[in-house]
Amino acid sequence: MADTPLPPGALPPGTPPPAGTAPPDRPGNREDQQIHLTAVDEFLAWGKENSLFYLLFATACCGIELMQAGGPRYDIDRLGMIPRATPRQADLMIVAGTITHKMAGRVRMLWEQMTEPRWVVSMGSCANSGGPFSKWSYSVLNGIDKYVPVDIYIPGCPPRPEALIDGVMALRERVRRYRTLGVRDREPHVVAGADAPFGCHFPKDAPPGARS
Amino acid sequence: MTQAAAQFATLPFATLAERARSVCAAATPRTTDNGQPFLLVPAAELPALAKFLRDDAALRFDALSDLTGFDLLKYPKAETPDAIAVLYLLFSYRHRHRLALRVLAPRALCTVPTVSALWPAALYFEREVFDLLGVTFTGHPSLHRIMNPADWEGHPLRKDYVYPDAYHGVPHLREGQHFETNPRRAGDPPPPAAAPKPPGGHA
Repeated sequence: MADTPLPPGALPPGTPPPAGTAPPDRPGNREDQQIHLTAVDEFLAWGKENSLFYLLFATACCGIELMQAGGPRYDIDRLGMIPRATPRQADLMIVAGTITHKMAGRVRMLWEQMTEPRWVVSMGSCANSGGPFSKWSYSVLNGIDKYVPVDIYIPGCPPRPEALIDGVMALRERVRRYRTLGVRDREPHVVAGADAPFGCHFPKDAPPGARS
Repeated sequence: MTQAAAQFATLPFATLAERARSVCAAATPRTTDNGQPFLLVPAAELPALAKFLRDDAALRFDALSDLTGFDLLKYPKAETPDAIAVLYLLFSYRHRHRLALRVLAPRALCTVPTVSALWPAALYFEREVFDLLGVTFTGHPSLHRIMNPADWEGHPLRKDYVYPDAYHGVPHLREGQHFETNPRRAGDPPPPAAAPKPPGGHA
């Protein structure tokens, strides 16, 4: 690079600009000062939002879609989501599948082992409400939200990976608004897919036969 | 057919049953509604017969493929409706033949001797039958529930099982719902009207 000739009129790097042409003297505005000013809370939220490590945990066929979302086609790694094999390193629990009464206590225990701040995504009809087992089964829990607080509900039986990614994007909105140092407000639950552009829902005015 | 192949030829059920009845005359050959033959064995005779079936050179049932059960209550063709049937599906890897046994356990004294000492596969099978049907297998080393929580009450696959309302305070159904198999109580919502049959139908 040292041998590269500079364009005519350009100054070598590191040279202070001539007097009278410098922008207002604020840090970060000069090319040699790559500084970005932000609030600490927003910076922490930015880091959390882009490193949502999720607990490697699935109980039914939704787990197949969860694995598919982690595969090369959907590649949920590009959102900074990496599976963790222990709840102590996980930020996010994706409850993927049917939860029986016997399993619910174990789910609660895993959730309690996660460090704050922690988020829960309820994936699929079974985790949302018991799904096809909600009316006829003595052993299946009617929704994991009776045991752990759920941030995002993703409808579907099972949801496609697009729907899961859509739910994750909705969760990222919540994570972005999370305040580590400031005052935190309790937010209402969000159902994923209500205004999603793809994946888990269809246009409200589409005829029934248009679903493919 | 070579001599080696003839040695492992599959024996028909009649031959197997006759051989089994040589040590347990109380075992009676029966057939299910769809024609599957099985041996109906009194519970008291089961250990001796099972040991013979496993150790006899001509039979050599070295595998217990399945052990399950069902409740005969509300079964219209049952000869003894007040009993729970326990099924044993045996298979011989040596001779490639199969045999089904059935033991009837009366509901009042729901007890069957264990076969887990002969086939270790029965250890989990018998726990499952105990959990879901309430059959007590005497001699089982650790007979406790395998699927339901340890503090569960009742045996869900019994036909007279009444579904619980809640488990540790968490209700099984949403408000206004009702388990259709449970007897109705005061305050239950009315039963749903039967759906109208579609017009036409089969001739």
